[in-house]
Amino acid sequence: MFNIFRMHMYRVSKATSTWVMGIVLAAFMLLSLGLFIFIYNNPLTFMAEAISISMNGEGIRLYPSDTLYLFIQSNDALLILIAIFCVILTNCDFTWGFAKNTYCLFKKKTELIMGKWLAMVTCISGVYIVCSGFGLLSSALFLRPFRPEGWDEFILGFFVGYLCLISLCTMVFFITSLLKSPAAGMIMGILIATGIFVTGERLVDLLIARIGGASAKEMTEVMAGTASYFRISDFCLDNVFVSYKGSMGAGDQIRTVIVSLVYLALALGLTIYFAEKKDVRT
Amino acid sequence: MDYILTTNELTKTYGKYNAANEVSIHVQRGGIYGLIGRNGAGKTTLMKMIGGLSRPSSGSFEIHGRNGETTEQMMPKVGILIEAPGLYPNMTAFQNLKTKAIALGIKDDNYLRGLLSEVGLSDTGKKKAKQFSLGMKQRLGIAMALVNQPELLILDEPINGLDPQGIAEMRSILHHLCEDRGITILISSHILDELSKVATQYGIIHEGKLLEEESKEELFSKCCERLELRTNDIAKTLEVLNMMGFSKLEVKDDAINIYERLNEGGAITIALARENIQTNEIAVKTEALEDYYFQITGGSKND
Repeated sequence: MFNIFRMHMYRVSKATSTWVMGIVLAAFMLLSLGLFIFIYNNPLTFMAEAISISMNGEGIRLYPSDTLYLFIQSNDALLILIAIFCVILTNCDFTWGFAKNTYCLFKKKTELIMGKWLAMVTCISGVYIVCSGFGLLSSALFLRPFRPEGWDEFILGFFVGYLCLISLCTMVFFITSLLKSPAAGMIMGILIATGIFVTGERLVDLLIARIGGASAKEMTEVMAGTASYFRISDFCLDNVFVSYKGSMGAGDQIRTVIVSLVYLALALGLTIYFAEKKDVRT
Repeated sequence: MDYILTTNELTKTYGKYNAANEVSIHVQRGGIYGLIGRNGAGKTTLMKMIGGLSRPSSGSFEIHGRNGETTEQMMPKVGILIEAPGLYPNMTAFQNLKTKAIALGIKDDNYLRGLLSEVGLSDTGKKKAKQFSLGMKQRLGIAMALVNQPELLILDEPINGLDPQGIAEMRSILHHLCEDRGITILISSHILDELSKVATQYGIIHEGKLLEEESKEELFSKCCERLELRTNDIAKTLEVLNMMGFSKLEVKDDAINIYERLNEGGAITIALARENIQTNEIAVKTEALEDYYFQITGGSKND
């Protein structure tokens, strides 16, 4: 498994797409930072509210944990980039037929899948760490309302958010591996990143509440996530990811971890299962 | 007989279509087994199953006497080049080899350079695989298949699309691998003339079924020039031929095929007449490998 992992890391290091991705990622981060600096230095507080920045009487307060949300979870462009990266990493050996060279060596495909998945996780971890670090550092340096408090929230948010992101990437890994289609993987990534799935899931929430006889006020609460009605979106990984913040309560934290782990195990298990069952396309 | 690979009624079904239908081949160690068949005959399907890229619907195969479906350690002894070589186009020849070598835990770069030299690609330097000619890609594909030091090399149509020089180079590589390194090769092609220059054993596959399996000698005996003799008494005729010193002969249906001294038809007829054996027909016949193939598969050159 580790040889396969090393093989994929070697390939990634030699691939042009990796360096292109790195440059695009850096450009996105700088553009994001520019946008936030603009927002915080202008009296457009409604925009700050719209992107869920904590506020109190002293003005805008940005906690370290908020930087994760701002620079990762709510950053559609970054999520699309990560999805594209996952798809390229997952499908590249099939696109060029290189998989024939490795699949003929291993009777059990588990090693091949786990090695490739591990390489993807390593690359995504790198992106996550860089983005988190960049967010944190740039907030401290350039955003005046940054408050270096609540590090426990930040650390918790960092790890739970990371687990959630890896689980999402594993879903993209699974779809791409199953369909052997980069297009399918990218479409899924874009649907998740742009919140189209989330909108659909929340619509289902509203329908369930309506069937349950919810009033107009209760429906609003369902939308806001404060009602006690059952919401299917609470168990959908994409919604869990985009809604997640380090400052959430313990119940939501546990739900996020469990949902992420279940999806992760399911996606990885199914990828291995289908790899064992399906022929290698040449 | 020492077989490196045997398949036992290996079958691959896609829906109701049998791409390979109960194929049983026997590949002798150290030889070159030529799998002959037209496009879509089932050659690639068979090779994919043996190479671990496709799961058989039924049947089994053994490599080194061990079941191919269950033995874990067997696969690294098999190298494959099925259809187009699987190469990363933006990598050099060395980087492509290195990528596979890492998967196998091989760290010796000199070994990889040796492989490149063996297939005549040692001077490609920083040239990327996408800039290679088809012949160079095929040779790199063979080098890729050799990384794990296989005892059995499976090559699917490796001479397809090559120019005459490329074909000659490929032939030379195959001879080298078989004779100098002792690698058994299972090779498919529909270019029968080329296959006949390298293979030592043949399997003719048609519409998923193996129609015939024979040695080079057996096949060539059916294809080369011969005296075809028909008489009213085959047993007595054989005695006469033995007395005349003929040894390279075979009885097929109601005829005796003689593969030597083809210019002695007159003498044979006189000798038979002395023994009161009636000669019904005696003629020199020639059959090309291609004709034989069409005869076996029931097709024609225009199919």
